[in-house]
Amino acid sequence: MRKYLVRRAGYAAITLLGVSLSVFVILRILPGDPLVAILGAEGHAQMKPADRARIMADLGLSDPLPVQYVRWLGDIAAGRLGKSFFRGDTVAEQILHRGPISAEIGVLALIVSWLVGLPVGILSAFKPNSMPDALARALSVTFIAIPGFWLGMLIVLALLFWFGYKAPIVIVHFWANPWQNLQIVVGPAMVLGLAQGAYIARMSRSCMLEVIGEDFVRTARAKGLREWLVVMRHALPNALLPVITISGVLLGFVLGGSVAVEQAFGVPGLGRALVTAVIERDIIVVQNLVLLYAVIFVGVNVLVDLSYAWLDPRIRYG
Amino acid sequence: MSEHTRDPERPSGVDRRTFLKRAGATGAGAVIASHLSIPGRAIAQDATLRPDPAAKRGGTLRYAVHNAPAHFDVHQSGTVANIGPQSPMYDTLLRRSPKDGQTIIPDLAQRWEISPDGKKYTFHLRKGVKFHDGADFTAEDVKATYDRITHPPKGVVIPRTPLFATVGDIVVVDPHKIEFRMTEARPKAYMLGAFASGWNVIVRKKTLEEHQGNLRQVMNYPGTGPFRHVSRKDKEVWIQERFPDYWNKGLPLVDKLEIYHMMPFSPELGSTFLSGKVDYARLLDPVSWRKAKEMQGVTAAAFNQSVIQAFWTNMQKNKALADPRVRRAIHLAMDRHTLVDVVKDTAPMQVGGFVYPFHEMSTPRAELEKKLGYQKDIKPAVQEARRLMKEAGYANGIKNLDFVVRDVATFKLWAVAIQAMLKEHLNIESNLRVVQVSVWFDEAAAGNFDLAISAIVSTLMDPSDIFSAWYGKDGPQNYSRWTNAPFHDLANQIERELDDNKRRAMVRKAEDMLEQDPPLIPVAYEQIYDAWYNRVHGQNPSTYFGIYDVVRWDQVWLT
Amino acid sequence: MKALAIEAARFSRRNTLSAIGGLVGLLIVFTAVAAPFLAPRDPLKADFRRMNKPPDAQSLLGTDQVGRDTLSRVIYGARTSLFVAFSAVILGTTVGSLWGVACGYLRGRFDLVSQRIMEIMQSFPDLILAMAISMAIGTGLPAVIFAIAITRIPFGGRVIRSVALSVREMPYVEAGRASGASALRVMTFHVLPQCIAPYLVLATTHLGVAIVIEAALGFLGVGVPPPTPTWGNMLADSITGLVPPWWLAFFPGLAITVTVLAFNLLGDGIRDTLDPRLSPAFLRMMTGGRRA
Repeated sequence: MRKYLVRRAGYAAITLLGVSLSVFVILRILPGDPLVAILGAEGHAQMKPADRARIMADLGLSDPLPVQYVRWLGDIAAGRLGKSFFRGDTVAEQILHRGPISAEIGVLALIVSWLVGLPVGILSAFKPNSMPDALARALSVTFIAIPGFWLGMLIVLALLFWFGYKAPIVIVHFWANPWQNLQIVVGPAMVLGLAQGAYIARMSRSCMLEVIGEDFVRTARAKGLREWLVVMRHALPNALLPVITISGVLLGFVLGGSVAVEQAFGVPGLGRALVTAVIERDIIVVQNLVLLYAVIFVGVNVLVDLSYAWLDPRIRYG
Repeated sequence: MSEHTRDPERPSGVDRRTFLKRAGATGAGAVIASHLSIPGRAIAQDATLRPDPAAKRGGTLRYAVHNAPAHFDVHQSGTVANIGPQSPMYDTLLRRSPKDGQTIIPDLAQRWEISPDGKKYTFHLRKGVKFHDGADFTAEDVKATYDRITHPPKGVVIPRTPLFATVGDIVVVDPHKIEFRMTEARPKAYMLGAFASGWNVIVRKKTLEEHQGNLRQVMNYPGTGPFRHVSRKDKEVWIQERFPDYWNKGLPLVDKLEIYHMMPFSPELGSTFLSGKVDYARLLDPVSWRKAKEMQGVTAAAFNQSVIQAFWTNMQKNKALADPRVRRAIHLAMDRHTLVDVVKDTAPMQVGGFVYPFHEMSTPRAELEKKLGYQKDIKPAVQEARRLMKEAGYANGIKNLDFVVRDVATFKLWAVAIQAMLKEHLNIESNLRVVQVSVWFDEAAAGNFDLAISAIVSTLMDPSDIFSAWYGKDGPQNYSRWTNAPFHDLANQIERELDDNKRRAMVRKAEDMLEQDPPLIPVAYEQIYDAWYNRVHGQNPSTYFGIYDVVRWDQVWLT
Repeated sequence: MKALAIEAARFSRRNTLSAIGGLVGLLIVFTAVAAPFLAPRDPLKADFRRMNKPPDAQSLLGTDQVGRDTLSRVIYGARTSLFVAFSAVILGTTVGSLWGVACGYLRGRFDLVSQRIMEIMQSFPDLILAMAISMAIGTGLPAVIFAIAITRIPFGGRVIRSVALSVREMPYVEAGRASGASALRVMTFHVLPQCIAPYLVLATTHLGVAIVIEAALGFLGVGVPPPTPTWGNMLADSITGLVPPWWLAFFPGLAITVTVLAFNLLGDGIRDTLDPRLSPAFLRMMTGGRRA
């Protein structure tokens, strides 16, 4: 087990290095002059080449690329997550301020997906091809197909149009004002959670069905144990395993999808900060936020792999 | 507009026009921009702003405006994202009175004198003024500020520099008296307008020294203004509180400002205001504004903005576009009334030509709409346009123009409409290319476009400002790189002419030149829609010019 | 031809839902291809006399702020969105699969390094990676296709790699190797054919994803640039002003949903048919699980 742990961590480290390199390379090719956003249209128009050189140098944009890359890595290692080119806000502050909202959305979505998806999938497997099953499957397939940001758009419009309701505009953290905070996160969390839940329902249903047909279950049934007991004790653990695994994948779906969904709901989360930074060509912010997302993703997947490995006796004792 | 006499008998110390307007707007209703006064007369030396005697003190004003600037250096900026949230913390030498947004009144300069030859401006500064950090305000601070504005250091780019092009030396006579010595005289209204511009906030000499003359990354540098910084959350809210040692005793009237970040014309801004989450909304979209107009307990106002919406033709890259006949044809083929209509639910616009349609020097609206290119029925204009194209040899049109569009809802809608108009009337085919603002200015500066649509700002409504900034030879915003020798000569004369009537005639002549040889194709002029709940008193922007001069909130009070 | 028809009929009987999905999908593809004939009006043509009209007899789905016909734009939007999605999926899955075959068959250092690279590619959430790439290389149609294709590569790579790994042990492949054929020959003639079925499953499963990513990019403003109508663009453009015209916000989204639904159902059916084993492990890999 320890050997596996070390190996896995090593791989993760290499992956992260590769990720950082990819992010850096991709972003340096972006077209557009960041100085326009900084100086404003009129200021930029009046700029002379000498001024431009001096400003770029001040912002560290004119050093050779490898130097910039190494300096960036060093900054991150030292915990200096950089400042926005604009306004001098630090990325760390942004993450601390907006991160909790986005994290809340992610966690809530995950909880919703499990709370909705698992029961639906299990119950469907119980009575395959019945009416409720068909309904559940139809809903699952539909929720997977509906784009989250469209659903979000429609919900916001409906709430505004019919109830004149608008969620709070400023970030309110959960510990400050739970009610307002929930109003901000519930929309995106539901939309993302239901879509994830649909995947989980399908996955758990098919895994359960598979196991239910297996020998050992038939044996248990033959022994006269009650149906649901059979299922819960024997089939369920098998269904849970792939669900855990797929949650890792779904996290990527949530992290990516949350960007568009945050935009649709107008939630001032980290995803929106990222989109704005990409559009403004705020290079340091984009680099560090994308790296953050990748780190989270890799981290969660390492955890998933580890939990899987822990549950798989071959690896645990091998 | 009548003279701005201070009549102590009249309630609220408000001038006649505004008083009448406000009396007419009971609870629900709009106050619309009117034709504006002659700038020369609207200067009142002894009219320092005093608080309304009926005013109540205290409370928090919640205000929503674009509050995510690219940097914090107000001098270097040209966007409401800076001036909106930051100006409550600073004063200027002179200022535009919040009562009408036009009259120039004393601010940090208590009195001023202009020498008869117009080449020396002497300002007598107030005594006992303090900065937020406790330091005393002296003429040295004014000198440091204006040295920077008139002759920016390397790496600093300030859009107002051209306004002070004729300022030679700035001399500190004593700690409260400062002289600006000009190399050449300029019309008084022009110069005083430049000094009164909301952009020219006075900062501490020490601040500039400490940051090597560059305040881009400094969020909180001390000012002398009525409010001081408390806290700021990027893209959310900036909180400022009353400065107890403000020099203008009795001001400001509210205790706290909460400045929320909302994009102009966005649905968020509209719904946030309508649901009562902010007290005052600026740059509302037309749909929300119309709703606000009908609400009880809300006042809505419309006023003019110091911005032109236009598209440029690249005369250096494209031979066809270099021909003035082709450009005039394009100019005439624009159905301006429809263009205003197309965006009517997105942003408020009005038809205009090459100078601000609401300036007293420019062609009055009624006359303008008789001219080709501004008429409601476009058939005569299109006919003339086709004739010009034929004469220039392009009867079959032009193909494959690269049309670069700034990524804003209004420009995207207009680009589609303009593309359709060009194709339908002149058989000019263009390909739209929507880009982010930074890329747009790159392309514009590098000349990578045939047509490019955007908006540009001026500081003063005065034609001389825009004749040099927008249409001047090598002017910073002259993206077409247009030149026209007779025009530039005339512009030079206009800049120096001190007689209003002569000047007006010359401006008309200049306008005609521009009509025949367009440096850009005007699309529309922006209006600003503001709305506020009636518990907010003291600010009525209906006669303001733009959103950059009267943004201090010191005279506003709440019930 | 006849055999194909019989297969199709058998398929439809067993997986009715999937067949319906396939039919709808086919209809949509047909609409996209035949757009110039089906669309009532030019999607790019502005009509200033009919701006912002709700659905009526003249414009079945209403018009937008410059009077362009929504129905026509939705039809042409199908064209762009489907073209992007198909191209991206085919490009990405093919490249990924070929890479996967090479990895699975050749093994060794090539495989090791390739795996790490694919893992790096999969460490980015789909949309974010597509966003960054498409912004980096420009926002034209080819750029968007390229960006989405890149996000699909690792999926193809991993699945096909494991197929290749198992196929490589099969006797006839060993025979091929023993007879002295070059690695390339063996891969092409012996391994590749076995991968066609999983490849098809992959491609159909990821089509829906590609469509949604393209729409999301358009919605965020970093996708195919206007005035080319795409469903995502149209959704973004609809949010102007306080209460957008409902027909502008509804129909493009509906189009996306129906299309993705159709292709997903089709993909389900194909997967059920072509791969009866359907072990959860395999399933996981299809949808991008991490354990190969």
